[in-house]
Amino acid sequence: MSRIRQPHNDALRDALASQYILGTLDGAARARFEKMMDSDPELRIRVQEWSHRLAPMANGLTPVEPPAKVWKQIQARTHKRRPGLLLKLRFWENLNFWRRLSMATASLLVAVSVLWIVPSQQVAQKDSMMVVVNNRFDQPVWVIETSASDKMMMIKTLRDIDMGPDKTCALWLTWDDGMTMSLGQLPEKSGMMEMEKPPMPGRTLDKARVVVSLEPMNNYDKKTIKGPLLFSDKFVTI
Amino acid sequence: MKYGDMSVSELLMVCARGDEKAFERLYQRTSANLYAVCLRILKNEGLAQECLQEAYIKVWNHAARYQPERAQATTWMTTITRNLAVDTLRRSGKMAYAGEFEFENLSDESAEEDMFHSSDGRLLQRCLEELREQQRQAVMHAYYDGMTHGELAAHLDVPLGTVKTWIRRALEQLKQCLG
Repeated sequence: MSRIRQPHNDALRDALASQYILGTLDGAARARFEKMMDSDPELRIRVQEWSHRLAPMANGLTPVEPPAKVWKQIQARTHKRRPGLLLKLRFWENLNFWRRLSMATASLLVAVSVLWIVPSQQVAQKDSMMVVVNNRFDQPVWVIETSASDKMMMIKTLRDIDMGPDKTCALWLTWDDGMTMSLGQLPEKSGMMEMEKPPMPGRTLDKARVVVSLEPMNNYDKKTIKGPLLFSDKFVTI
Repeated sequence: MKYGDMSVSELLMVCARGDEKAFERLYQRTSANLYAVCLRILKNEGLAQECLQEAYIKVWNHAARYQPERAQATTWMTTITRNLAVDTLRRSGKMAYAGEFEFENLSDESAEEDMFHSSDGRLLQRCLEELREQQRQAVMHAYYDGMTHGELAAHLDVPLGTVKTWIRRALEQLKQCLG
């Protein structure tokens, strides 16, 4: 089996990544580069960076409405494939997996075994609720997932953030009548964590707004939002 | 939150769970932009519609692979669409250069004007303008017409090595300018 030689020269790696995104690599060179990317995460990051740099060239085109028949054709094809879709979800990308894993008192081995036994459709709970917190560049930072029946919220931090030495992002739930509940500080390092939901008698999550505010790092008022609002949105029920 | 209130990134994440309504909303929100990408590269309505269809099938099937921490949703979808359009163009065995078809809004000039609508676009526009004319033309033809080094050399009637140098230096300069 032939092995693909990985380019070690920094400038060459960047040049290949940029030309891959620009589209100037011919068929064979492009195929070789794609094989390199398969086993080279750093190269994939360079490609993503170049994709982002050149994206305005495509995003800036004047939109043109496609004919209605295109959607009908897409719909006909996707509808047939629907049953297999959830099986395509890689298990480590499924927030329910992480939630179940972290809540389990059994060993990791048992949790993984359960995942293999339980069909994917059953893993996805019907009452799952999710909100994605974006930053000002519209980049997702946190994914918060729970359900009406869960006592915990699972928070996935998608990127490291730095709010400075004396500031933190505080998470809240608010309702239209002015009721405000503090959930605590949001993590600043990428990863997964659980946060306990406070008791909320007579209130439901589907009516709540998820709010993130910028507060002092230590001893901020947990009863009232005093800092500037960074984000506010409702859960989506899945 | 209703589908109409979701961002493109949220819609994609919901699509990953097989939600067809989210997919329909995603299509309504993004198809005009992606169709413009297909048209700009393929310059043929029939091929562009096939390209758009394949792009959304791929988005639907691979929505679970979208990693929001790595790319904006629109960038991810545009990359899928553009790659499919370029592949279609190369499979068709002929280049469809601008000017051979009548699409009023497909000229390089209109694309450049539109880039000004976003701050990223304005910066990229300024950086492109700082390139030498030949370098800029090579970059624009590569991006919008899907030309490889060899095709650019033939189209611009210059040696292959010259085109490779133009492209490499142009991209280095763009990276430096974009910061």
